[in-house]
Amino acid sequence: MEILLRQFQTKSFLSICKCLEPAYSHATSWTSGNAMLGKTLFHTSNTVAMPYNPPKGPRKWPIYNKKIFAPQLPGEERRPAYVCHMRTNIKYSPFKMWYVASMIRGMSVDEAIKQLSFVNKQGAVHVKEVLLEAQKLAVEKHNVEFKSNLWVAESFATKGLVMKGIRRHAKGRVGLVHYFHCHYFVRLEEGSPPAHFFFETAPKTTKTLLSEWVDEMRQRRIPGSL
Amino acid sequence: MAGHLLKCLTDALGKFEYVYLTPLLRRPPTPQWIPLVVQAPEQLLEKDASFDIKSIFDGFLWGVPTCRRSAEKRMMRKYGAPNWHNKLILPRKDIKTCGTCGHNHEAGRLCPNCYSKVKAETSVLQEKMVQELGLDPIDKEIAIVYQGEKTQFDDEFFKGKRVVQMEKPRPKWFSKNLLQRCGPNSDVNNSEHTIIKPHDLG
Repeated sequence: MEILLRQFQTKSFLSICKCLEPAYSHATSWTSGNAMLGKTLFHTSNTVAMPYNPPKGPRKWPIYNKKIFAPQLPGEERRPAYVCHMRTNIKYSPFKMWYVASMIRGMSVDEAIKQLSFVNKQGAVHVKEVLLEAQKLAVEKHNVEFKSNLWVAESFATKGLVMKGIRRHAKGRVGLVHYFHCHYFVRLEEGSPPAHFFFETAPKTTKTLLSEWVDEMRQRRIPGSL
Repeated sequence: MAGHLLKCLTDALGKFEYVYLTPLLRRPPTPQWIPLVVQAPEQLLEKDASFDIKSIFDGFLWGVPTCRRSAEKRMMRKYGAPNWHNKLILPRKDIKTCGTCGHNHEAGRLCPNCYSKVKAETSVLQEKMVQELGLDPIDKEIAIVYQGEKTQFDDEFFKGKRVVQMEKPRPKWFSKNLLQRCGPNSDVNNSEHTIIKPHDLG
């Protein structure tokens, strides 16, 4: 007991907070039974009628919302507020969702919602809904003053459930059918969007153009020379 | 009996050879005891000498890729080409904001929000018309009068028209003056037509 208390004293406030976080971690890690944190080693309800269903799908993304940052120094630039939101197991292919997710990167939330309303894809409906939810969360829970003062900092889709089915082909042959699901993740940050989100699409300054031209000129060699 | 057994075995062997060895050897198997009297011409020998390894795919291994997809092909499939078939979804520049309701709509098209209101009102009018006029032949014009408007029109207006009285007030966006021509061929100086001021439009 004394050793444990000493550990608590030496550890930082943040690590203590992490220890006391609710069970986002996989439940099997607690089966070893840690009586200190109030977990029991025996079941108190029917395990056959109500079997344990382990949590499925991604769970780490919303944990970023709970992250507690160290207090900022007096001269430091104010860290912008952000909100991470996701929607799991959307009945849509991740390969198709990529196009929708990549379109809105770096846009302001209002512009993104406006554009998504006119994208002729099923995934766009889901992405728009997620954006509106995230916008609402940002204002209500993440200390964002104006709901329009947000921009899409991160937007991506990953593979979800894949159900496999069979289809017929001619001459008694069989084909596999994959029913894809995807997870969609978005992070909205407070502030105005950057002028150029993608470095490659940004127009080059005269200085960079000049330096690149000079490099190209200097790379020239006479073929066959020593 | 032994001879018969031997014959069966040899037949079976021959069948086995014919079924399984013919596709690999590309010729029917010849019995060993027949001497090759006719020598194959040189041209044929030269042809047989060059064996294309890819011929194993002709009817043996189907539905598998034969070449690796190059990076260019993969990129073209995923991203397309900018000025040709662009697979990336580009943000649209022809989205306008409706001045009346503030919703967004495509340029050159009606605002869906405003149009839905018009559509709803039209369906209400149509229901009322069906209710009042029923299945009578359409031989006269129909005059739609909203709540509190009957006094604004004189009897001459209703001459030769069938009146449909609505119990609700006129919507703000529904102009009273919709029959006056206002195009380039309109005759504004004509005494029959009167210039209606904006506040009279409804």
